[in-house]
Formats: sequence, structure tokens, C-alpha cells
Amino acid sequence: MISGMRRNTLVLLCIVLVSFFFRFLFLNSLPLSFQDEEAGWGVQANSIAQTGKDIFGQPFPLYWRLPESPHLPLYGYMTALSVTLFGLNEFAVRFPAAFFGALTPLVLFFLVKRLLKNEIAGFASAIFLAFSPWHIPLSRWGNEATLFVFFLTFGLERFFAAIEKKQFPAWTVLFFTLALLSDMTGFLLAPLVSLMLILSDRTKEIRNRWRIVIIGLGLFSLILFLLNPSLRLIIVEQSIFGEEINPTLWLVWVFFRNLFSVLSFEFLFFHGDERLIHGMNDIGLLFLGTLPLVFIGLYALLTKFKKQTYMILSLLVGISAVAALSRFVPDARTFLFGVIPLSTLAGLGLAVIIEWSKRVWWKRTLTFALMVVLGYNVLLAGHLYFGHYNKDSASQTQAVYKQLWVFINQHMETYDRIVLSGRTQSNLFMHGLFFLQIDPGHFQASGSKHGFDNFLIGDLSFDRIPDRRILLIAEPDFIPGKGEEIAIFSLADGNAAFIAWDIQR
Amino acid sequence: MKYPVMKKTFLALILLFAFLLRVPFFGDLPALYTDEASLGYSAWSILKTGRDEFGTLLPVSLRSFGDWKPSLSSYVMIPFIAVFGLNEIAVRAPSLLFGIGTIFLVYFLIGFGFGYHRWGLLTAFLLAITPWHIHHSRMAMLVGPTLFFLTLGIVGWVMQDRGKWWKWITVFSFGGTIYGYYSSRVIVPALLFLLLFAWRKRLLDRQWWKGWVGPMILGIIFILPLLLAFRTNPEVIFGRARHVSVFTDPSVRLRVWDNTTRDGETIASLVVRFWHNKPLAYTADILERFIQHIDPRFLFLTGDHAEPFELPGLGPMLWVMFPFFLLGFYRLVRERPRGWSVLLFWMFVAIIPASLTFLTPASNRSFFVVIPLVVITAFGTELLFIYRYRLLMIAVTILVILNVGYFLHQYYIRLPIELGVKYRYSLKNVVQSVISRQDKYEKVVLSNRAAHFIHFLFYTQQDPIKYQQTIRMNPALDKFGFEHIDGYGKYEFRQSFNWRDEPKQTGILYVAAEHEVPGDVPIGYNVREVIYYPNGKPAYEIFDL
Repeated sequence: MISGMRRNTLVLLCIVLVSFFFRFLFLNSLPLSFQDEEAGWGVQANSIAQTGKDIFGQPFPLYWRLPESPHLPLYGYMTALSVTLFGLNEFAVRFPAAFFGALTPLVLFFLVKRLLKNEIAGFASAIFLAFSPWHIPLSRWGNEATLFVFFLTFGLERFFAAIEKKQFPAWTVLFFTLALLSDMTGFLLAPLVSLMLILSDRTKEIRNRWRIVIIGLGLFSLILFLLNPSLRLIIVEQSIFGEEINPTLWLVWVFFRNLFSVLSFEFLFFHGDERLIHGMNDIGLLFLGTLPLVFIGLYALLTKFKKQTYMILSLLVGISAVAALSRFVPDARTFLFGVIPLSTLAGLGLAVIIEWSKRVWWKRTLTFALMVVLGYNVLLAGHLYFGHYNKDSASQTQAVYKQLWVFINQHMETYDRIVLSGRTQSNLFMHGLFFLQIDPGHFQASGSKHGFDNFLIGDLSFDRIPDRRILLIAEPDFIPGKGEEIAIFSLADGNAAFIAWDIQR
Repeated sequence: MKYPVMKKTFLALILLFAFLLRVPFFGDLPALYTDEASLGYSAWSILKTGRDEFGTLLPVSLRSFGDWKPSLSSYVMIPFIAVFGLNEIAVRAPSLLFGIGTIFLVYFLIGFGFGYHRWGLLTAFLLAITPWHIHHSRMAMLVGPTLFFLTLGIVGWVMQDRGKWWKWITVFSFGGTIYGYYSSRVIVPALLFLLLFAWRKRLLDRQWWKGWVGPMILGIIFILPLLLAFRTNPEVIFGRARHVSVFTDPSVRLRVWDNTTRDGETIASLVVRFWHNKPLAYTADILERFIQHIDPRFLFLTGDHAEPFELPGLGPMLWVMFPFFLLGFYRLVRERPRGWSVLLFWMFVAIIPASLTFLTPASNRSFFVVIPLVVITAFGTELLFIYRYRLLMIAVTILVILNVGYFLHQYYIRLPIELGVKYRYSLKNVVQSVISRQDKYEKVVLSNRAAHFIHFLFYTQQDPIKYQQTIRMNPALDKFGFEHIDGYGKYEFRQSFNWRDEPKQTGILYVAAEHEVPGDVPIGYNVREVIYYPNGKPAYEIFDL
């Protein structure tokens, strides 16, 4: 006989294995499209790992330029570590997101178990997160969202552990700070959650300590905020405050419209995010089968718990409010932390159902039917991701970047000059540095965003270029006066993304 | 039944307030819609000849535009048309009266049926100020009188043990409901089934069944004409449903086909069908459409964008009601007051027919859900009176005043200006202008966008028999399943008006929408009149050669 504790450990181990399996399977080739942001992280991380400076010569930057917009630094430094371990490739860039994404269900289990004192709810929440059609796709490409979700969840778990032991929640301070340094949403959410925890805790002693923490965190964010005006600009530009709305009172209306969009069933259970990089086609962020479970969980929470109700609902409202401030709603990435309270509710719902169905045959049959639906949901999500995703996203321009740079690599010796044109030149350039594995020290010394070695970026006035043989990579709508078309780089839908021209004088 | 004067006064004041909110510019705002004109003309035709405009004797379902409208609305218009003549006020008067009646019934249901008078008064008040209900009390779009009968049926059911005649009222009302609106043919049986489930303990009581024998016979007699009509022409029931159902819309089938084709290249067909099949795709589609109707964005912020149900910048419910709806729902499930299951069944069943149709969310098809929504909201609002947080009460009162004020401004002032095109304003002016000129012309050619034959029949009070003699039907249905009239008398109605195809002759009066009027007009083109929308933009041009 396996003891209860050992059995639980085994189950938990299985969940973690599944979580790792779904996040690491074919990680370097799925998603096929290597995003601009990923190329940026990879190139800059490689530069930091090798020289201690980014490609623009900034030593250990607080904000990472990828290449145009500033990003918070944590994901970059994590990538620098993984690039050192695995080399500069797609897997290394995606590794931190997948790794912390895969660990989050484990942390969620402990959080739910500690908060609700219900092991089944903990397991169920962790399972929902491990299989999540929302969390898995976002864990599989190099972006910082899963990082802040992990640290915020871990910080919360440590907070409740510290409360139980009447200790100072030092780990929480550390993890919240890491969350704050990892993502723009975390940057806004970490102080908000800290405030919420302080208000939730009635113990005077802890509250006084927390006052210090909140002040520290608040000051720290303020300093970070003030340090970089472009970060401030991005927050304003990407939020509803950047919209020209008159009268200003309409902002309230826009906020609520966004809030309802973020929390809409359509977004959560049916269609998810329209942008493929944030999810899949034809499926919601949560399994359709969890729809009744979320409500049952909510009802159980409202009727059976007090402090926990406040906590979980505050988390949900907090992240929804932050996500509703965005101009681009509904956005699965900004709202990613929502997966934590929603998985918790679904997990609690399932625990309630399992308890309810004991010993009555028709209740057990109903529960079994629900399990079948959930099982089908999981299988379908797996099929859509591993069977459809690359086909669906093959029409993204990024899908041909690698192919393009392999071509350039093969032909670059033949040409005096390689000119990259077009609207996506800055992204193309980052992909070039990545796929050609250009030495960052060399680039820092002689390159700029306008070109390096015999590469020229963005300049199409050929008359001024003295070289005799030029390889021009241009978007299809640009036709040079002379030259021969030597290759077309087409997307899966048949449309050309780039054309290579051989120009000889 | 003793009843405090205070509550009576409150109720009277609420009903008066409801009347005052609904009555301004009654005939003119919004402009008379084609369906209203059709129902009104059918009523007029039945009043004059005993037959509808197609010659059917006392029809149970009105052929109208080929959509086979349920006939209740037309029959209830007849007395008003007989008294006031065929005009907008007579056509809409039943909606107003039944609308006010519904407010009273809702109070009666909660107050006397379930025994919660304060909750009942709050419900009546909230229904009185709900934009959804106000709009449908001002238009004759079938659902107003139907909602009254549906509510009366439920009142009768709930009150069945308080007097014999309630059972008769139940059957009479549910029967009326079936003749009132398409979706009620799904709602009434489903609701009855759920009500029987809720009263399941009575099902074994022989005495209880005995009391229902007489009313059930009445019910059968009531439904018999519809069944007989259905036997000869199934269109009378399925005519409209067939064209608006989700199964008619090809999008789900195409999505399944697209996925199947793509997977079919690499996976065995049986496995492909496991992932991508129509039963599952339709189930998910219907479920999604169901949920769209309770989406807070639809209910409280943006509403329906289809004509003629759009309210400018408004949802069908007041946004101030949203938190109280949430509170009320929670309270309802938690406290389970008398009648809670009836309310939940009602809410569930009222949305089912709408979710089986495409072009969702649809505020008219899901209109019957307004009652449970408002009742639940009132249950949440009641907390204010239970806990008596004075400051909160003042704040909520101010918000309600602001919200109602904003609605009134948007509805009575902004609607004609912002949505004049959608509501097809100024068509009455077109008819009047054509009538004043038509004697000089051999023929009047009207673009489909500029005028509709039904407005001519309605405003000219055309003799139904003469109309039947000169009608020229178009044999083809359009993509939404509607029939079209190519003309009658000297009028010709073009489904798609194209100036290049028109014979350039004198003696013809043309009526076209402003954007359809040709730029390259020949010499001798005379604009006789330009008709404008309420916002001052040109709408229609009346011209000849």
C-alpha cells in the first residue's frame, strides 16, 4: 500500500512531468515563427553573456532594447544564463519561459492547498494549469509573462506560509521584486497585490512589517519608473490613457468595456486571443468543460470561505483591472496572471463536485460525464496546438526569417554589399544577428542599427552605393530599377514576404 | 385581500411614471418600421375584410414578407385601429398598454405570487426604467404583448392554488403567447416542462390533475387552429425559423470543413472526425450564442446593433443595474426565496431560441429574459433597503437618476440624429411626397433602399382587395428568406436599383436613396424634392426626366 503522503507526491510528480512535457516538447521548432522579441532577447543576452554589455554598448542594462522598445531586465539575464548553457539558438531563448512556466503548476498546488486547505482542489488547479491552453502557448516562446506569473504566485504562497508560521515574509519580498522586474504587467501588479495582502492581514504586527515592505516596493517601482522616460511613455501609449477620448469621463466607459471583454466568456472559454502568438485558434483560454466548474468554485468560495474569498477575488479583479487598462484588449498575455485565480476556482469547483458525487450513482455518472468532456477538451487542445499551430501561424512574416538568413548566409560571400530594406528592417536586423551568430564584441565595435560589416540596413538609394554587386532583400512591393530576381520567400498562404534581387553594375 | 394604501400608492406612482417615460413622441419616435407597418396593415385588412392582405381568412400566422409572423399582435391592434384609424399610434398602443400591464403583472407575481411586496415594488420600478422594456413598449415588434401573456401565464401557474380560474388564465395566456412570437413556440413548452419539474411533487396528486382537465381542453382548442394551419402549410410555424437558424448559417460547416481538409492530409479520416465534427461544433456554437446574451457588454454597455433595436451608446439594461444584478444573483442562489427556481428556469429558457439563431446577440429574440434579469437585479437592490446604508442609498439614487437621464437624452434626442438611417426615418415623408405628385405620372419607380411597399400600403390605407388584384409578387426569396413585391398598381419596387438599367423615359417618377442617385444624369433630370434625415443629411431624392 502506498501511503497518502507518498501517493500525493507521486501525483504531484506526474503533474510536474506533464507540465514539463507539454512545455518542452519540440520547443525549438514549435512555434515555428521565431518572434522579433525572441531574436532581440537572444542577441542581447548573448552579448551580455559574452561581453557584459548589450549590443549597443550599455553595460548590464536595467532596460533591455529589443531593439526599439525597452523591456524590463529579468528575462534577459535569465536568457543570458541559458544562452551560456545551450548556445545561441531558439531553445535557449525559450528556455526560461518554458522552465518557469512548467514549474508554476507545482507552486500553484502549494498555494491552493495552503489557502483553501483542500488537497484535491490543489491537485485539480495544478492539473488545469499544467494542461492549460492559455499558459502552455505563452510558456513556449521567449517572453517574460510566465516569469512574472511564477514569481507572483510563489510570492503569494510564501506569504501565506510566513503568516502561518508568524514569520516575516522575506521570500515574498524577494519574489515580488523579481516579478516587478520581469514584466510590465508584473510591474503594475506586484505593488497592487502587496497592497491587497496588507489590507487582508489583520494581524497588527505583520501589517506594520508589511507597511515597510510596501513602502520599499513602491519606492523601488517609482525609481524604476522615473529612471527611464521611454518606459513611462510606453505605459501611457499602450494603455487607455494614450487614447484620445473626449470627454475624459468616457475613459471610465472604455475601462469597463475592456474589463467586461477581458472577463467575457467568449474570450475565456470560446475564442481566446485573436493573435496567434498569444494562443490558439478555435479554443478559449480555459477549457470549455471548466465553465461550470469556475461557477461552482466561485459559489463554494463565496459560501464556505471568508478571507480566501477576498484573496482570490481580489487577485482576479486586480489582474482584470490591470489588463483592462491596456489599449489592446482582450490580451491573453497581459491577462496571463488571471490563469491563477481562474484555475483555482475551477480546481475548487472540481473538488466540490467530487465530494458531492460520492455514494450517489447518478451524481457519479454526471461527474464522470464532466470528466469525459474535460478529457476531450485536453485532447482537442493538444491536437490543435501540436497538430495545427504551426500550420495556422505559418502565414506570419517571421516564419520565413530563418529561411531568409540561411539563404543570405549561403550567398553573402558572392556579394560586395547586402542591403536589407523594408518596413521590418529593424526586426530583420535582429534576426540576422541571431541566425548569423555575429560576434557581439565585433558588432559593438563596428556595427549599428544601420548596418554592420557589408550589411546595409534600410537604405535603398543604390546610386550612392559604389559596390559592384549587391544582394538586395526587399519586400514584394519594392521593385528596384535594375537587377534580377533570384529568390522569393513565400509564406504558407502563398503570399511573398520577401524577394531577393541580384543587382550588378 | 387587504393591502396597505402606501404600497398601492407606490405601485400607482410607478405605473404612472412608466407611462410618462414611454409616451413622449409616441407615434414618431422611432420611425415606423416595416414590420410594424406590416402588422398594422394586416390588422386593418382583417378589420375591413376579415382576411389578411393575401386573402387568408382570420389567419393564425401572417405571411407578411414571407416570414410568417405570429398573428397575436395584429389581432390586438384591431380595436385600436377601429377607433383611431390606421396610424402609428393605433399600431403601437397595444405595446404600450401591454407593457404597462407587464409591469403590474411582475409586481403581482413577486408581491402576491411569491409574497415579497418590497421586492415586487422594486422590480416594477426597475422594469419601468429599463431601456429594453421602454423601447419595446414603444414599438409594435411582436414581443411586447407576448411578454405580457407569458408573464400572465406564469402568474397563473404560480397562483394556481389560490382560485380555480388561475388555471384557466394560465392556459389562456400560454396559448396567447404561442400566437405572439416565434420563439414562444419553444419557450412555452420548455417552460411548462421545467415548471412541471419544479412542481414534481404534485404530479402524483390525482386531485391536482383533475383541476387541470378543463383548462387543458381549452388549451387544445386554443392550439388547434395553429396545428391545422401547420398541417396544410408547415411554413406557418417553421417559415421564419428555417431562415434564421444556426444550421442555415454556413460558417460552422465551413470551419469544420476547413479543419477536416487540413488534417485530412496527414491523419486518418476517422481520427479527423473525432476532432472536427459538426455535432460538437454546433454544440459549442449554440452555447457561445447562448452566453452572448448574458454577456455584460451586450446587456449593460453596447447592446444590439441590429436595426431597429440599437440604442445609441446604450445597452438594453441600465449600467447602474450591473452590480445589483450580480448581488441579486448571488443572493438568489444563496437564499433561495420562493419562486427562485421559476426565475432561473425562465432566464434559461428565454435565451434558448435566440441562441439557436445566427446574428447574435439579438435583443428582440431574447427579450423575454428581461423579466428574470430585472427581478434578480431588484433582489440585489433590496439589500440597500435591508441594510439601510444611507450614504450608499443616496449615491445609488444619484447614479440611477444620472443613468436614466442619460438614457432619455440618448433615446429621445440622439436616436433620430445618430441612427436615422438604421431606423429608416423620413419614409413617411417619401410616401406623402409621392402621393402629392403621382397623378402626373404613369409609373412610380422606387428603390428598395428608399421605400418599402408596406409603407405605401400603410400610409395610403390601400384597399386590401384592390391591392390583392394588382399585386406583382417576385417568385424568388432573398438570402434571408424574405419574399419581395415587385409592385402593385402604378408602383414598382426595385430590389436593387441601378440607374443604368432603368429606361430613361418621361412620365416616370423615381425615388432613390441619396447615394443611389446617378452622378451622370442626362439633360432634363429634375429633382422634385430632396428628403432629409433628422440630422439634416439628405436621405432620398424624388426626381423625373
